[in-house]
Formats: sequence, structure tokens, C-alpha cells
Amino acid sequence: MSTQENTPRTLDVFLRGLWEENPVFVMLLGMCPVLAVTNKVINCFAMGVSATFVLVMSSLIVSLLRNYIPKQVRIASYIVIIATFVTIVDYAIQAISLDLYDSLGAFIQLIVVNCIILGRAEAFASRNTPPKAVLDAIGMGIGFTFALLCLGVVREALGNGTLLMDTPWEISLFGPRFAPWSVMILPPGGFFVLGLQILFFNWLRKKLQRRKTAAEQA
Amino acid sequence: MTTANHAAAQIPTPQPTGSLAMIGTLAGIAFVSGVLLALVYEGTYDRIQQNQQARTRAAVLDILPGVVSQQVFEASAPGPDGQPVTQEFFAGYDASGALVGVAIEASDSGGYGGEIRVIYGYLPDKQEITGMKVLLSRETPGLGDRISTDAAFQANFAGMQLALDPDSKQPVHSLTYVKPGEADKPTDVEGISGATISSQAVTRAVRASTERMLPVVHDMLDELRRGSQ
Repeated sequence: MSTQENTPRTLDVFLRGLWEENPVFVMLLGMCPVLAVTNKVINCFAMGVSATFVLVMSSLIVSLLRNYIPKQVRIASYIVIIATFVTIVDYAIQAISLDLYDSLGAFIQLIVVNCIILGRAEAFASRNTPPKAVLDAIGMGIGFTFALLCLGVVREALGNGTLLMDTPWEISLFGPRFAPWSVMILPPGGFFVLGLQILFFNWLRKKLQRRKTAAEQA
Repeated sequence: MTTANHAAAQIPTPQPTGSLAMIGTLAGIAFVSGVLLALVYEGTYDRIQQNQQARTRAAVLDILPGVVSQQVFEASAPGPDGQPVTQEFFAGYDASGALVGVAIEASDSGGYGGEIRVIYGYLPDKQEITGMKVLLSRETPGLGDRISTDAAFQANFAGMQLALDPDSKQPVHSLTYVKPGEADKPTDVEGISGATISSQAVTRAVRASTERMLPVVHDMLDELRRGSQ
């Protein structure tokens, strides 16, 4: 799968964000929300969906306008476009449910400064056609959501002994005698789990790579 | 796609673009964005207001047992600086139209994430607090925000006897924050370990509000009882 050329094939554009260039585990982008919101599974899910929406919409607009925005003001233009969609998401969540809005707190507004979105706008959407840009955005969005959930499941399980807390589907994992490992919900827990998971996914990717090379040589 | 723009995008060292083009692009994007946001704001405003009012109304029904209807009253009580401040509160009535109790909003800005706003129910006849609900908080998810979910902390406020002095109408014992497991008076509020600052802020908010508002509520009792007609 050699996708490093400037014109990757369509399906590869989509799959790249999921695994090969996962924004969190491989490119280490957007670490701030990754560390901040992943203490609850429901937060990871809502954050992932919101970020994916913003990513897809801004990639589409940036790609459509890519030949009309002068190079000197492109970053300012991208930020305005991204901020617009973030504010729309912000109002929409308030209108859907105040409880969900409360549980996400300031994290929704922080999507504006999420470097994954600005990064994709600058590195991909501004150089590719709208269909490819949207496909890339969906892939990256799902990859981001997947990474958030990977962290959230571990942190909530160890830090609170539950899965999906504060939702109707809450599951208690270890029974009432479980003493929550509070540090996992606090910021240091985010660093611990992120570090270990990056280690794990790097090891896994290397292993798969080696197996593929071996298969090609055989 | 004009040829000039296309060429500018391809050359690594950017050719000088006219200032007008830059200003025009930014102004155009900002204008479209502004129009879009105004529309979304207009479109969602009613829903958001409804959600907020529904939350407060639901909270009033929740913390005052047996209440089926409610009415908003205004009272003027001395604020922190001694100047009178007008505050709205809710009076709840049962099915026969008799006054059950009042629900009063209280807030404190000393939470871990800034302001915490709660609403508590009070039964003037029994001189008792019925319960407390958090309306707004930006406390740390999973730690400070347990002030709204922790059952033991909520139980502090359920059925709390808050006897008033017959003359001054002030609470005889004000609410006091104590460490978990150390409460020995009905007015002692046991904090949550790991959420000390947040539980202290809630205690302060309810304490300040009871001292400020309860004398006024008792002065208004006749008006509140008539209110249901």
C-alpha cells in the first residue's frame, strides 16, 4: 500500500486516516482534546461525532474554495470556516440536549483549535478535489473517534469502574467493592494511557508490516 | 478558476497578491459565516431557551414533593454588599392549590471551574430543605461534577431541618461544610472526597441563599398562599 504519492487512490484516501496515518496514534495531532475529553466513553463518542462533522464540512468548503483563497490569508480563512461550523455544532448540541452539552463543557469550542482539522485543511483539502477531501475527512474523523474511544474505555473502566457512565446504558464492571483508580480520570491518567496505547499500536503496526514484507518475499 | 490564481497557488515562493484580493476574500468568508451563524442562532434560540426553562421547571417539580403547579415570585433581599437585590423564586402548589413550598436558585463563584448554580426546595411550614439540584456547573467531569450525581452528597440536603429563629427569621444553625463521615447536626453538609472545593461551593451557595432569602420568604407567606388563585 504505497500511498505516499500526491495522488493516492480513492479508497486509500479513506483508509489512511483509520490506520496508516491515524491522526492520534500515528500523527500525534490534536493531543489536547484527546487528553481532555477521554475520561468518559460518552464524551469520546460525542466529541468524535462533532469533530468529524466539523472536519467533513470544513474540508468540503476549503476544497471548493481552494483556488479562490490567496495563499497569504489561507490560514485565517480556514480558521473562520472551521469556527463557523464549530459554533453551529455548539448551538445544535444545546438545542438537542442541555445534559449532553454540560458533559462536553468547553471541549466543543476547543474543536476550533484542533490541529487535525486545520492540518487536513492545509495539507489535503486545499490541494485536492472536493470528493477526495470529503473522503479523507471522513476517514480521519472515524480514525479520531476510534482513538478517542480506545482511550476512553480504558480510562473510564479503571478510573470509575464503569462503561458509558451518565447514560441510560451504564454498565458497572467490577461491582460495588471496586475502589476507583481516580488518577485515570485526571489528566495524568490521560498521559499514561495514551503513552501505552501509542506503544501498543506502534508495535502492532511494525509487526503487521514485517509479516507483509515476509509474505511478499516468500 | 482564474489562470492567475491557479499560478499563484503552484509557485512555492508566493507572488505578491493584491491587498484587495486578500481583504475581499476574508471579508467575503466572514460575511457568509456571519449570516450563517445568525440564521443558526435564530433557529436554535427558542429551543435552547425552552430547554433551559424546562430544566428549571423540572427541577422545581423534582425537589418539591407533591407539587403540580408553580408560579414565579420576586423578592427583594439585601445582597452581599448590603444593597437590596431582586431575585426570582418559584412557589409550588399541590393539586388543591395549597402552597407546598418554594424553590430558590443559589449560586457561588468559588467552584473549581467557576460558577456553580443550584436550586433547592424549602418547606416554610416544616422549616425544612427538601433537596438540592445542580443547574449549572463547569466542574471537572468525573470528580467535581459528582456534586450533581453523588447520592450521599445529595442526601445531605434531602429533609434537612433548618429551624429559623422566631424573631430574626434567620436559621438557628447555618449550613456548615464538614468532612465525609463527620456530620453530627442536621445542618452539617458532608463533602465528597475528591470534590472538596465543589462541595464547599455548593454548601456556601445554599447557606448564603438561605440566610438571605428565607426571612423574606417567611414575610411573604400570605402573598405566596394567595398566589395560587
